[in-house]
Amino acid sequence: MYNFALLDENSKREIRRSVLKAIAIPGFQVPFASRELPIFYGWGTGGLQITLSLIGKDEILKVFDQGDDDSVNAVNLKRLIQLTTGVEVTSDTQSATLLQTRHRIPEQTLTSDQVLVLQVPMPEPLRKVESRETETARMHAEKDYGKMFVKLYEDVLHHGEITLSSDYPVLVFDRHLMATTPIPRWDVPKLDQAENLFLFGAGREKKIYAVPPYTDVEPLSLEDYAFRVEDFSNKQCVFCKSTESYLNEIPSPEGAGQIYACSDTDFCQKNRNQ
Amino acid sequence: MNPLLSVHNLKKIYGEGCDDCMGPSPRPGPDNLCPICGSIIACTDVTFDVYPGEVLGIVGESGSGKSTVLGCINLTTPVNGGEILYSRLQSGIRNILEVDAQTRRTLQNIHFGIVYQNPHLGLNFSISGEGNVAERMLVADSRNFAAIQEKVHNLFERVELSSARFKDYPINYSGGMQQRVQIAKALINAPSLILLDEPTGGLDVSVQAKILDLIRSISRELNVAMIMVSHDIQVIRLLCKRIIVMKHGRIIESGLTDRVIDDPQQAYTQTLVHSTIQ
Repeated sequence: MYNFALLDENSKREIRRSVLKAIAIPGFQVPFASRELPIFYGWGTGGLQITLSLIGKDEILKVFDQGDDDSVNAVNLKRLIQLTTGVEVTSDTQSATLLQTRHRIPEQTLTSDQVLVLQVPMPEPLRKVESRETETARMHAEKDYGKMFVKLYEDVLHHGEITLSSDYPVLVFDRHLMATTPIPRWDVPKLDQAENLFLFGAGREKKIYAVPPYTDVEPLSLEDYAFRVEDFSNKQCVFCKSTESYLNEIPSPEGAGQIYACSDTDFCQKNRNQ
Repeated sequence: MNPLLSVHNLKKIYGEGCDDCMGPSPRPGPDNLCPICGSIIACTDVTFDVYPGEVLGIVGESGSGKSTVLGCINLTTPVNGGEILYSRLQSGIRNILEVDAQTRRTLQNIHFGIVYQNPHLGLNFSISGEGNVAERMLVADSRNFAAIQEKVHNLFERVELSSARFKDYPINYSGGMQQRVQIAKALINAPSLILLDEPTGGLDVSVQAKILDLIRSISRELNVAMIMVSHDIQVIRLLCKRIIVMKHGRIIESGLTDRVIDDPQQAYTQTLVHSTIQ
């Protein structure tokens, strides 16, 4: 009924070619011919197309959304990929070879034989400060990123600190400014000198970009206002008692106050099993 | 003394252009249109030098090509011919019309400063006044917030902007304050040339006098060269030792300001001088 992995072979080849180009120029947004899919733009079509064009029969797949393997978006994407490929699906970060994610990088450090595919809503980091596509293209070509630093300056001026929370801009390989997708700041340092390959796919915006293994990824900052991650000091996960993971804030079931729980469900489960 | 900037046979045509108006010394017509093909001759055969620390005036009526010349020097308007030699680049005297994009940005951000009559052209209205000036240092690779802020505040005090208004957005500034911020923005990276495109047009007379005072004291203290474009001959007389008179995209007369104003040779210059209300 379907071709293996839904897309036709020529489409998959075109996407793989764009992926190769993206790996060759770290952080550069490579245009590609985003295909029609049986899901809407904005639901992970960019990541899905990369996954579908890379996947082989021996792959072990993990799809998760905000760190959660059982959220609606993740489950539906997982079902679609499994239905059209028959590959093995897992929630175990360690044993997966191909991982697709929305808004998180797993707590567990990935290895050189794993590929993490990120779903990207807005691939252009300069869109916050410049609305014209012709102008952002020129700024990337000339490495003219002064305007982004003006944004940081204005943040410090009005709020006393850099207010960018998710989708923090990073400089990749000391050359291209890159949007990190809405991953929290917590996950940004994991991109730097990582063992694994990161691939970023934006279906609606028709762009693919990549961070190859062992690449310098530096979050933008001012000399006297350094980049910092979210502060979870004095907080721990209510389930696994971890103090070293990114925590979700949840209204307390007892009424007043908040409780905190690991965002990465696989990490949390493993902690509890130990 | 060697000139800071030498402009040779600068030409800017809007329209198709023909062999005549694209060539040297195109045929003059009754207006600034080419009599053969009808293209607009924004400027042609414009040649002049600017020396370090001097204030050069350019006068002329609306549409005479004054602002076009400034746009060409600031490398924001692409030209159709001529060369602009600039002497302060590390690589020596260079024709700045032929430099690469990165050198062009260095020239625009560090070597030149520009003040427009319309503050919407010179200021970014979506960021604070302080951010506007800081932007010039940030694009010139300064990355220390405290150091940048100190320099901006010192300059704001120099241009007499009230410290309570530093963080305000340009839309909330008065016309005079907007021009002060533009002047601070032009000065922040210690440029060797400032381009002033009718900086006091549209301001009331008392504010105009204060801004002109500021420009005059800056040019004396910092020894920065300026090209001042204006249609107001009194403003030019106050600030400039040397002036150029333009009409229909061409220079029709130039010389020491006192000589040109007291003894104008061209009919147009005579009209310009005598039509001023004394």
